[in-house]
Amino acid sequence: MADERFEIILTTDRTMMSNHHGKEFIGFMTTGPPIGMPESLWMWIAAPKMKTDRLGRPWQAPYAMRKLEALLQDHGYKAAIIDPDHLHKHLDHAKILMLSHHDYFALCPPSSEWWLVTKQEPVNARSFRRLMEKPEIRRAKKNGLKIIVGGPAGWQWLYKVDLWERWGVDTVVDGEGERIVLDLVEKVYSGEPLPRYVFVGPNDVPMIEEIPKIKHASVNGLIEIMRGCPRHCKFCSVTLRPLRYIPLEMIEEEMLVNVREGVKGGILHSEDVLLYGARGLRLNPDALIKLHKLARKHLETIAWSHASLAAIKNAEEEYGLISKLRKIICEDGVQDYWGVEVGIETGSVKLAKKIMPAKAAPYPAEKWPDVVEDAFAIMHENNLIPAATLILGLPEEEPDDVVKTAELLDRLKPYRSLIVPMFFVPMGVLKDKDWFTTFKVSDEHIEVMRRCLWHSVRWAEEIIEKFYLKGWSKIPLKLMLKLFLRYVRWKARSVEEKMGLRLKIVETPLIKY
Amino acid sequence: MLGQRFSETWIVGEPGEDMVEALKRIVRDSMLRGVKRLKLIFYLSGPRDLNYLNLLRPVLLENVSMSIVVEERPIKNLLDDAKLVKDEVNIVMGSMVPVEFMKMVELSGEKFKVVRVHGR
Repeated sequence: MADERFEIILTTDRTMMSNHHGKEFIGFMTTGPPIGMPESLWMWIAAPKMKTDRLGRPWQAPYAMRKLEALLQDHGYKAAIIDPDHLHKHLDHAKILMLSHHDYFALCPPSSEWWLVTKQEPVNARSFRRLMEKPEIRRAKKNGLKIIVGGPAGWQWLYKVDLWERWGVDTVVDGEGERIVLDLVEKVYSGEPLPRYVFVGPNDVPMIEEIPKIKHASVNGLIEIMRGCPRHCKFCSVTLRPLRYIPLEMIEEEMLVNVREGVKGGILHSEDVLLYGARGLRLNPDALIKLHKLARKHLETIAWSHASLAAIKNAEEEYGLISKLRKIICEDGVQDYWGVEVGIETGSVKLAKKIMPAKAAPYPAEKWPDVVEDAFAIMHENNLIPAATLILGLPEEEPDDVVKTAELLDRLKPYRSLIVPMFFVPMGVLKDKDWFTTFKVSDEHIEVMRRCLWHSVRWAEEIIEKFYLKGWSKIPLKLMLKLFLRYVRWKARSVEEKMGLRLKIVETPLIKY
Repeated sequence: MLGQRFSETWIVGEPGEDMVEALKRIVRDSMLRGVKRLKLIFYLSGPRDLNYLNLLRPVLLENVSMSIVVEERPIKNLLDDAKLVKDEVNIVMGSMVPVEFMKMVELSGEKFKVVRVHGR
């Protein structure tokens, strides 16, 4: 029994501790409130419970938590990731509870949009609050448990100091955790006081050899292939950190960890997958082909986390690389599409030049709208399905910039994709900018949001039908999502009619909504 | 990471709105001087009240390039800690600073650099 006791517990709430039915994109539903159905049903669709062992260790867990679990175990600590429903088995004898999240309080996009539009709190924030209010955590805290929180949304605690205090969080960490976590754990074990807050600067991020290999399966087989990004967009925090490419051997070992534990598919994670092995922004086709052949060798399905639109255009036009990678990924008909997140951000050349001058590289920023459209066309032809984002409310944005974005959306109508508008959240070098207090939703913003909604609903129906949810086992989920889309159509139409917007819809000859 | 050398700023006495600009200036100056790591140490007298973090938020968000650590220490440790100081420490003084510490700072030569005193 003693061997089954863990002194350091890593966990997160259900919206994160789920594989979303093996469909990563469905996980985005956790950023919304339950619309048109009870929360329990919404949670079943968006974040079903994770299979666990007897001790409550989940089959799959968020990748970043797997990294820290491995790091702590490598240093001899009795640490484990525990599913949130099984914390009661461990917290009475644990010393430290570590939490991670992508969006603790639904302040990140797109949660913040859904909250603003629907006036209802998204389920990720609700679910995290339920976790923190669990009696077993409250009891353990009273008995001296130390709580350390971090992850990509660590910064959000600075806006929620009341909850920081109420829930007894000892330390908030903002930044890559490998170097700081061991220091914090040593402090707890030696009875020293913990710092209240740590921001890990670019000089304290780990070198490749300090990054541990995961020991157990990550959610949907996600595996990091690089860290950092050389594009230096001003709204992004990742770009502030140095660029590091994970060696193929390490990537392969982690793929095999997932496969051994029954996770047959994988998501290659990077801010820009096509920059793997690149020299600056110069693509490295050999490295990408080797990477994908490796993935094909071990994985049944392959997806990309993110890619830049400029790299997609450049890869295809200069090297025919998207077609080549498609041949590898879709070899033998094992899959006929793959997914990726891409950033449109704006249709305004003026804003693109100001806030993301290298996002279009190797093309000039003046060509940004053309780069976006060309990349969308390439993805459409190659069955690469993008979930695209754009940002509303960027600093110095003027109404005309938003109109340019709306015009770009019209050009993207023929291309299979989902497009999600997001309100600007101050990160990267823009993180000291005013935020919720100053943001006003204009008529132009509403128009962009409408165009995104109708574009996404129209294409989501096709994607679900033809690509995303195949096989008998997915029929209930498919039906639920189709019903949901119908509800969204109906709801959106009735809201538009109330606002007198229906008459203004301009239908292009290409697509009628 | 915590074992490395940090440039230190002590915030002594009760934190208030009026020290935010001083702290922002310290963060900006440190970034310009190429400081890699900065520690902000709050000497607090009362029971743990994290409200000072609301004041600190705009200061922390000024930074993108340094590692920053925020610590809290009881004010009763202040004089003992002050005796152990080797490198220069910036001091930002809030209200209700112990008189003994003020005297120590005055007599310490260049060890303590008072950046801002409450009310002045």
